[in-house]
Amino acid sequence: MPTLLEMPDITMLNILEKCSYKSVLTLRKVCHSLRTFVDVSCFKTDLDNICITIGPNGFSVTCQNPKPWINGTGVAKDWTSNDLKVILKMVQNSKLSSFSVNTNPDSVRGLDDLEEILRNQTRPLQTERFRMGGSKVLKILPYLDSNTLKKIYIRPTNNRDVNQNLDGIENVMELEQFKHAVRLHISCFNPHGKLLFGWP
Amino acid sequence: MSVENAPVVDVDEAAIPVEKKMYYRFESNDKKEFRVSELAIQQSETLNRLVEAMGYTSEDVENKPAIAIENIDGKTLKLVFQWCEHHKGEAIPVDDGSVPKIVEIPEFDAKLMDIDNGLLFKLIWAADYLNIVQLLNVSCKKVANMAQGKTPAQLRRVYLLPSDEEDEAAKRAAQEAQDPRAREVEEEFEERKRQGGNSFF
Repeated sequence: MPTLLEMPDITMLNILEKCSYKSVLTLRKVCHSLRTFVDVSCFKTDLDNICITIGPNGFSVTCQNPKPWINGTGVAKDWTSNDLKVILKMVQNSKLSSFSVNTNPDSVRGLDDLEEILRNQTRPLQTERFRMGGSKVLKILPYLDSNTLKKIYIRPTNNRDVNQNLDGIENVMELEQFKHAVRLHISCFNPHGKLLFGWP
Repeated sequence: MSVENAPVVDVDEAAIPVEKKMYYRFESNDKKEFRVSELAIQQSETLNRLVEAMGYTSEDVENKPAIAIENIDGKTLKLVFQWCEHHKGEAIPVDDGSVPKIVEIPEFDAKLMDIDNGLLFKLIWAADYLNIVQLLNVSCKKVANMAQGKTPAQLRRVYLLPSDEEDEAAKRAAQEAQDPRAREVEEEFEERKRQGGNSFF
């Protein structure tokens, strides 16, 4: 009698693409064979929106598919960078509508870990909107797909950042991601004057 | 002009249904025979190409032996052909890369796939082998739906999968069965136990 593990690879991918992202993450925990298959395969998921908050004890992650009012929101706390790697690897072949990162000035290591994961992805993360809480935009923005990214939102994480300068904003302007985007929102930072005039 | 053309069109239309009522005979690996209409066969890319290449006439179908499908059993093939007959003439979906595809399981398909998991996996295997795109889509969707909201332990039961520990134990057992030295040591141990000595080491 055939089991799921004896399915041809293409059929297995067909099944994974029809599973919700939550089911894929559960299937990954069933056995070594399935975990390896999920980790090495390229398939699209229904994951649509990822919000990562960097905290002192790890990453808090909120995930949604295109119908959160039906399928609910996935919330995970105190994730390690390995957990985060799994979910970001899973969305490599999908297009997100929104990717948000909320940084924490007291947890610089977390942002470095996230940058490392994004740098090591096979292809840049595809998202239409990118929301950054914090000033270190250059740690994330270069690793997003410039052809997909349309809107960039940057805001401070706390009152300390308000009216501070955005780090390396001149370098942001050199990025393809910046040049291709159609909308940029910067709230309560003190952006470089050149940026305002340089915006197409 | 148009009045003159009309009867010609009528004759053509009348001729088409006669031509289309072509059936083919297939045989499963357990020697069960099925008669399937030509239109239903079009759902399967593999079988459609096969019958096109064979170029059978209606007489050939009756006189020559049924086309053997060596690696699918009668129970599975019956489901496959039931599905094909029900969906005959429907357009075959094209993969345009807009994944994840939204697949709805129609009522007929849901009833057809109300079977045990072993048979469902055989059906998927057959749909893949015979390249029936939409049957593969709905059956994969059914398997995907089975995973919804389950824990890993529940999924192991649903998909008839061994846990890593069971898997390793089975591998070890198989390895030991293959390794004659391991068996000899075990037999020696059993022999000493029977003789009443427990001082094997």
